[in-house]
Amino acid sequence: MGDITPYANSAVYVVEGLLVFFILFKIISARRGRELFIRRIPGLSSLDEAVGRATEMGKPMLFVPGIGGLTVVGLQAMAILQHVVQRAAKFLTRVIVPNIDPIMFTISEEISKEAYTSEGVPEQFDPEDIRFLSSDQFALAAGVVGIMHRERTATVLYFGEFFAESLILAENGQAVGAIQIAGTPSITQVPFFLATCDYTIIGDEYFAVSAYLSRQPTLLGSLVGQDYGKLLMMGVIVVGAILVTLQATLPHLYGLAWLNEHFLKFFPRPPGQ
Amino acid sequence: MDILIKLQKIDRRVIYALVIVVLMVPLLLQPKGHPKLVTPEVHHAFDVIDSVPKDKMVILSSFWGPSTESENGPQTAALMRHMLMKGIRFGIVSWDQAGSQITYNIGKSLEQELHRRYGVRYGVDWVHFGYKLQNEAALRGIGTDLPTTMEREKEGKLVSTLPVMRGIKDFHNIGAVVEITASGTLEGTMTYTTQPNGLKLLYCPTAVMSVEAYRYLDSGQVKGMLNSAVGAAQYETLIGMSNVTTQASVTTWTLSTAHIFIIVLILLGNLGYFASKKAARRQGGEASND
Amino acid sequence: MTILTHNQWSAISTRFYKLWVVTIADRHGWQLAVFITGALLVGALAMWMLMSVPTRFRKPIVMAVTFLGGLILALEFLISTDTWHPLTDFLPAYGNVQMVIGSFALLLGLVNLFMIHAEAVNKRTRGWINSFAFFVAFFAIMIAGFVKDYAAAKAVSGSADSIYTVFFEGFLMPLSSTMFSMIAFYIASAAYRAFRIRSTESALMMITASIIMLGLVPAGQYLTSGLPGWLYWLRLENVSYWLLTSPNMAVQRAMAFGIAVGALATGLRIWLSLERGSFFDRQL
Repeated sequence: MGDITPYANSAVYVVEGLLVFFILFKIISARRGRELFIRRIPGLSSLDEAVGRATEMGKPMLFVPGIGGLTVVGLQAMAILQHVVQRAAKFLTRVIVPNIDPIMFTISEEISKEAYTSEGVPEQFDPEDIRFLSSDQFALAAGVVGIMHRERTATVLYFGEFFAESLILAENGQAVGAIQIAGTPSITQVPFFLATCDYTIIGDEYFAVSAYLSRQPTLLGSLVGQDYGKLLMMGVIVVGAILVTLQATLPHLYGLAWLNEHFLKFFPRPPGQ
Repeated sequence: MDILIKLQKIDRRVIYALVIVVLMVPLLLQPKGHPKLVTPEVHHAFDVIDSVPKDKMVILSSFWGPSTESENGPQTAALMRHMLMKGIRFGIVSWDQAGSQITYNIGKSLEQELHRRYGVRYGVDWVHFGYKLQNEAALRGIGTDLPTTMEREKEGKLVSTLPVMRGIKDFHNIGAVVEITASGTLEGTMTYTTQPNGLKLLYCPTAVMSVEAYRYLDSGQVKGMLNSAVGAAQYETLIGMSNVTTQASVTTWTLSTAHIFIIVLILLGNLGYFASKKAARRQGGEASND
Repeated sequence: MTILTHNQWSAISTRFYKLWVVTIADRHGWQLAVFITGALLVGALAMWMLMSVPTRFRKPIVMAVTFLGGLILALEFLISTDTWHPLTDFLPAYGNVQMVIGSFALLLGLVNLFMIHAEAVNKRTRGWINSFAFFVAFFAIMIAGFVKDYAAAKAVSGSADSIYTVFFEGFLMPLSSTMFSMIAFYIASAAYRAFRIRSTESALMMITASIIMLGLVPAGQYLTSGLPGWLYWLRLENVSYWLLTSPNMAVQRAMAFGIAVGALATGLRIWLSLERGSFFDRQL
């Protein structure tokens, strides 16, 4: 049986290699003009409605990019922020962005400035709308709640990595009567967002948001590549489940022991299991 | 029926006041009853700690602070108590600055309590490595060279000079790693500390995070789990403290009353919802008859 | 790797590593001052050189640096021998570089905080007293921390430690606990307001949630403790345990796979500079 090591083994090479291949292949074919389909995601279809509501009420929007810092999830939140600010800039609606991470603060400032400039209204950008509040989770929560209540934000968007502060934020957003849309890959916080937000984007839908909003071929291609990757994972799981079930029920089936042994050698289990 | 419909619009401050009353009752009564039923994952965690040989050390990797003290505090205390009673050496490292002081205080108070009966002493039976910055290097270092990675303990002394660290160098000398956390740090510890070195990993999360752990329990990457204060109370049952009032027992009963209260709220809310739907249908029927 | 032998690679990487160890060795006194000044000058020079690069070359440089930076970590994992890891020894320094860059950004964040709150205090806008309180708290704990470290370095005991303890354990820790405990109230009001049985799925969710909530706590276990032995599987704690270890575990695993693949794709796009959006496409 193979050992768990801190480095890649043959299973990693094969599976990760295939995943990377699918993603890159689909990106290339999308860039070559191939049409790709993406299903409707309700939370994102209502983004325009959310921006419109803030415009009608003359109140600002609030975009909370999570507390994860400069990670893949955080950068995805920045990509979403860019779309949101561009749409808000069209209607001259303010977007307040409180940050927990100083690097994310600088990125969100750049993005907001660029978005207003691209819509032809650079003078509408107010640097005070992009704020670094604190590096502490609950200090950020307290600060964001204060902003919600003082500014009476009409729309609150939560995109990024969230932990315990999610319910504090979303419940206060409810209290001020804001329309709330949340998107996070943090599975443990999804129930809290589901209970308090109008729309919630769950799990890997979060990584589809930028592709959905921009319809950029590269992003769409990457999304379709991800789906092929998931199909590969499902295939491996099904094959493994069938092999283990057959081993338990029909252990003397010809070739089964050999197949099982090699499958398990390829996907090693932790020591002691 | 009307009262149910009126309750739909109740001010949230009334609910907050009821929450205070409901939670205060067990906190004031301080019940000592521990759960008689112990879940399999708590049993496994107990077995792992209980079977650590005397020449090895257990590492408590603590990433929690004052905000989750009511859940992670009892877990830390229960584990420390078991190890001090059984004479199993352990070291605790805190990746949270505030949590470092809290875990140190827990250790010190247990030392005081158990010193007379078990001769427990800091530096001999246990050590607190203090607050360290968590990064990949530190997590790897626990398995490859513990004394160098930790360097100094909380009181400032070099860990290599302490009797508790005698013969402890790397993963060969570590019996188990316990991850006590309120954040998503399990995967990091698993990836860099335990799995590369074949170390047994126990997980002590808050209740919200425990649902994610079952997949690791199933795959064997995590050997046992203490699910928030309830898990800690079950663990205390196993170490013979089922008739003693502890923070875990009080928190467990507080959780009980809170859960029942929330279920009652949900029921009331739904009864009111159905009542208002029925009233709306009746009004609509009367209007069409007119 | 086919150009040089394993031993030749080891020799080269050992030489680089020795040079690296000399470069990053601990320094004190005037050596430290010279080292910091030198590092700042080198950094400033590098920044000036980057700014002088023609616009059309900036993006390729950023792409190359991004790729190389990610490549180190990727190779560290992908080179799968236990005996030859030329990059492992450089990883702690790599992590330190990340922390230093993050610290520069922290300064920017602090500047932003100061600007916003100073303007509020200056103009006496609504709630300016909170901004004033920010400055009081910031400088109080900063000074207390420095004084405590100075006293510790000089091995002088006294009130410095106590003042710091008052701020840290007296203010910060209880405030942190208070914020977290507010969640209990919010859960109750969210549960009362939002959990409505509007469909079959929501009814199923409600029943499951109730079973798990009751199965976890002693009060719930007492509720079904009277069930006879042959119906033990219907006891709340057993149903709750089955729900957590079977359907819940399967769903958690499925979501984790999906999220992992999504994160891989996003990471790959950023690493290979394929990410699109105004931030990533902008002129440098």
